Amino acid sequence: MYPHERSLVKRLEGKPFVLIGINSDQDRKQLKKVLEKEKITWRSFWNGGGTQGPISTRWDVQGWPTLYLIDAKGVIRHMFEGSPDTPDEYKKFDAEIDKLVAEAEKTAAK
Amino acid sequence: MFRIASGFLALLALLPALRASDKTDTPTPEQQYQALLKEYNKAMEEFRKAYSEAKTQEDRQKVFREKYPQPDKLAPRFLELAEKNPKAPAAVDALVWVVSPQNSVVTPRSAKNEPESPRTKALKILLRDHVQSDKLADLCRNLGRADDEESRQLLRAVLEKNKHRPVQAQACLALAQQAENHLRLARQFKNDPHLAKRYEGFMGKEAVAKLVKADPDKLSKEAENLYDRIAKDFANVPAPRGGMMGKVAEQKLEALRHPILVGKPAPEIAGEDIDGAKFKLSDYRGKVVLLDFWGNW
Repeated sequence: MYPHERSLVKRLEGKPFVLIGINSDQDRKQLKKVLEKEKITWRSFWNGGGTQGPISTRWDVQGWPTLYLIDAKGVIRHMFEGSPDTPDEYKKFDAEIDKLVAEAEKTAAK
Repeated sequence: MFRIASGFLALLALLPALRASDKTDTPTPEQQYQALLKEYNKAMEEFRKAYSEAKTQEDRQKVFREKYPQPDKLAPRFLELAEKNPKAPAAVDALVWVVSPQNSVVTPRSAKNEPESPRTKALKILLRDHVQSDKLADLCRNLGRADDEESRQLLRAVLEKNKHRPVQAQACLALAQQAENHLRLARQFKNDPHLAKRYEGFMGKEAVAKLVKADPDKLSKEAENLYDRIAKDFANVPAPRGGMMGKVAEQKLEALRHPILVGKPAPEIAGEDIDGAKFKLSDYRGKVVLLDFWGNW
């Protein structure tokens, strides 16, 4: 998922889009090494050091990764359990994001 | 001096008799339980050794077929021990062994005509003979992931009749988790009929149909009532994954009362990033947010 996320962030640079993680790792120091190695530049909330943390509990997350797509008004528009794994799924995933970004640009232009 | 010697002799004279009675006495239920456990562990050890020594995939499959100690083969003997000694503490241990997740398979409800599984039998015996036992906390905790009527009957009985608060608390939490699971599935099935179809295979047609028809609000209420009870009666019992049950119940109640649903506003997230700097989800209003619950494992 990291390579796709990296390209997503790059492709939508300057657009009304942001990728935010909720990280459920246990060790921050270890995690910092991963951020560096995988070139993860986007920001993540810290879930408190485990999968039972307050944020994932509030969002009732049952499996990792789980992704939510939230529109510019703050409304949840999609939920994806697990990352896409076929090119076709990636295409659909990107299309949903692009649709909402276009929506946000249209509203901003008004 | 004479006295000591005679006492010693008397003891010696007794010894053979003691040995003889040892042999004829049947072992205690505890000893029987330990012997069964030992037998299983030994078989498991032999299997593991043979498996790690197997060279090819074919050999490994053969070892698995021939040596893997199927828990269901030993389960009837644990059950027999429990049936014959309903008052012994070891009976509870034996039944817990049968129900524990690594030893039992939950058969779907559609398999009605099949004979009862050892697991189902064990749950029924626990309900009949051992609802008051102080040894049921771990079992109850594991039943939070189960979804059979027998487990629910046992959990309800433990919640109402057991006198040990940590055990009752685990039963209450497990019932709440089962209710939550039903709610989750009911919502997913409504959104995705294909998913419902796929679940029929291992949940059984009837159970799936019931959830498809169920009212999510009612299911949510059921889970809320159970978490309410935890918050009220068991708040200071330690939770399985750290912290106190009261805190877990509070978080769960918030999540149940304001569920995360597609089409609804996202709740605020206020927290800190990996470096400890505070920030909020609402900082990004006006932008599309892809929220990724991730972990590097």
